[in-house]
Amino acid sequence: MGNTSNQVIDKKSVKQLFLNSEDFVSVDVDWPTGKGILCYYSSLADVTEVNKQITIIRQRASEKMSNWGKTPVSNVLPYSEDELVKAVCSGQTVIIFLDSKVMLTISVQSSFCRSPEEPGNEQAIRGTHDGFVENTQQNITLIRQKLARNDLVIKSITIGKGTSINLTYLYIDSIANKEVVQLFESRLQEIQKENIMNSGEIQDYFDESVLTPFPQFLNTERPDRVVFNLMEGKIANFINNSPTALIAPVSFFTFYQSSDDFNKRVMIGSFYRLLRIMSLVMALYLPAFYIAVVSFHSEILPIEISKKVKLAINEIPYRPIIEAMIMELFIELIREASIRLPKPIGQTIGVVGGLIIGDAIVSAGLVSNLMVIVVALTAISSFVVPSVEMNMALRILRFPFMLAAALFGFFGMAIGTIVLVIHLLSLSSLKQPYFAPFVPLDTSRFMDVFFRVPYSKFHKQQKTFSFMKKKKGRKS
Amino acid sequence: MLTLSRIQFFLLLFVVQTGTVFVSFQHRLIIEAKTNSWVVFIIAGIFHYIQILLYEKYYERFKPGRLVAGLYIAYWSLTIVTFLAYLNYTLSVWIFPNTPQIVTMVIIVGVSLYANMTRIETVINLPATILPLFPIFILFLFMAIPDLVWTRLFPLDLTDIIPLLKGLFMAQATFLGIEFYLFFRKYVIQKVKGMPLFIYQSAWFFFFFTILVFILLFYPINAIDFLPEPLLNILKSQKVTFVERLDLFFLFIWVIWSVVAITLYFFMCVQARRIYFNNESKFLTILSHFLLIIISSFFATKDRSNFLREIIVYPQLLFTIVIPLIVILMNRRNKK
Repeated sequence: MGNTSNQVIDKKSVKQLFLNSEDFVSVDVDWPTGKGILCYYSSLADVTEVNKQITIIRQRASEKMSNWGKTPVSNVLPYSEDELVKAVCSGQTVIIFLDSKVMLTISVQSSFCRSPEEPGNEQAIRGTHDGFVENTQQNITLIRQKLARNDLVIKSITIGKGTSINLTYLYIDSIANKEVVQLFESRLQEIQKENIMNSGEIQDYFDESVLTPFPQFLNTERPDRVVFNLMEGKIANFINNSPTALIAPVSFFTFYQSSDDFNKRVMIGSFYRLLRIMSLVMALYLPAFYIAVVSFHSEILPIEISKKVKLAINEIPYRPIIEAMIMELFIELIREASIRLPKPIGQTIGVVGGLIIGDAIVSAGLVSNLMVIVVALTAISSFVVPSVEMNMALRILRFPFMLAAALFGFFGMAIGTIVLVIHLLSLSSLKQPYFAPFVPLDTSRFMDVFFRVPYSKFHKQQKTFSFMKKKKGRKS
Repeated sequence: MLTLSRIQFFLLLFVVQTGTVFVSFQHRLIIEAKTNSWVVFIIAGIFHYIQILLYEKYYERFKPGRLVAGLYIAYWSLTIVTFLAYLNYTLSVWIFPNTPQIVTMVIIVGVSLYANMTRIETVINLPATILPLFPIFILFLFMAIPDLVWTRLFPLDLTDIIPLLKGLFMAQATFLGIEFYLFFRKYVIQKVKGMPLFIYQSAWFFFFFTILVFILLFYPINAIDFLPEPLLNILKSQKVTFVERLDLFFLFIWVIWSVVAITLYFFMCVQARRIYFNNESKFLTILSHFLLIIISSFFATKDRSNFLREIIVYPQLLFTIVIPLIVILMNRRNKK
């Protein structure tokens, strides 16, 4: 394809350009300025509204208004096959004027959009109960309604050669770090020629460490969460037809903040934030701790508990690591199965898997009942984190910890912890420190990590890995 | 250029100075100075304060050349070998009697290698992450308060100067790593002089002094001869309802603390090579870690690790007092 301004344009050639597709419509139209061909995909254009717009624009043309083709929903462009394909494929209606070799594009797409319901995986008790939908414009409306300020910048870029994916990104100009915005934009330019199908692929292009289990983008379908993060100087982006906003740069502790925190009273919000941090420790260490105690350090247990543990594991034919692996894999299977199946059956799987098979495994003597308690507690702890990505990262990470505990007991866990901390310290999200406020160490922000501060103080995303001369970014 | 906050700087210094010796320094100090140990340590504390005050005054003149930097690398390598040998020996006695020491050695050095292959800021900020362990350790220690016998601090015998001097010499072990002050101070962009320095000195002093006094109060003075790690034994004897062996938890706090300290020493070697020799070779970093595993394995026996711990105080005096003094004086002369 290319610019075919010298070729003859007629209805047939235009139809051929769209491979005579059944839903492609091309009709001759008379226009005050000359003859034209009207073309659109009937499956994408809102025909009734298009008719109304054509009447209005035709009237403007009859009155010989200057720029008659330029209205809020229409534009006049020089004709080219590329532009024609792009416009029609994105749902626009096009009138090609044969004499003047220009085309009028009318953007009135039919949209089938669900109502902005609260996302199922990010429920909040108090606060707004709306969620993003598969329409970027509507998503931006939801954000704009909550952020009534003129420095909210919204930009759009087309990425992906084959798929023509539109990516819209937002930031607050007066708060966002200019260098980060530039870095984000330069990375966008780099991926422009690739085929992008969904937001997960975008993440891959932006991630500085692809092989780490830790997400470097916050993934959310909640407008209020996006607004909170924009207020902290972060950049949010959507791709069209996706209800998920990706937010960066983020820190590890961003994933532990919930919009519910700010809707609760200070003490209660702080308690639940602390509980979430504690759940991190439990989700990572509990099975490993059990394995280490049973395999290596049974002497740390008081005698009464020690007797019970011995009784529980006495008849189990496998080593604790095998026992734990069986149970953990079992839990992962239940989780995966319940996601894939329809909701009512998914719940049944939970009951059948959790109660019946769990009980049967213990009765069969394959796994001790203590291990069932440990694994169940671990699973519950891992689901406390208000981010699905972080939840998955934690679930994956407990396997190496279990292995380290099985090989070296507490020593293995201690070493595993240091390695994990070093890994977190070295991670970055859009080149910003991921483990802030630990790197760079900023004790003034510690309170914010562990507690819900008495009134909302938004902190800018930490800029560099080094301690700065002047602390900037404190916005109240 | 690297910049450090005051807290980052002092935390780094604190972990380097306490990292590996806080379990071991008391034994030899008490053997030499007996009940006078706590008085000796107060004097050592005054010396320590004077030393860091002098460092603060003259750190800008401390500009080592390649020769001096090379000597420091050798000294830090010796310190690493000493710590690694002791750490592995202690681990083999307390936890892994059947595991070959090379395995634990490789794991510990592997952590350091991983940290030193990442960005500089990772290692610089590593001490901050072990901050929560400090109150846990103090809490564990304070559980021993009901068992303390307060009269054990006396009688004092300050007439014989020789044991006191020997004790003072042994207390030098707590000064290990103080030379980091000279190397890192120039990167600190906040005020250090005055109250911040005094707070650091107080933290350093009370940390070591509390441990020392607890040991003196917990054991009869003659029992120390038979307890190479009296601190571990205090914790072993603690009975709490939820756990039987508190010392095991403490041991792992100490392991984490020590691994971070060793990582910082390795970091200094790598950085000195980078700054003074313009060498950033990753291969050399890997090779140096590998070599130190081999050397440390050789010394990871009771006698050899004790030998290293005995002699490390001598080069320490050289590298924390004599060489800085020479370098500072020479730079002063050159300036004139």
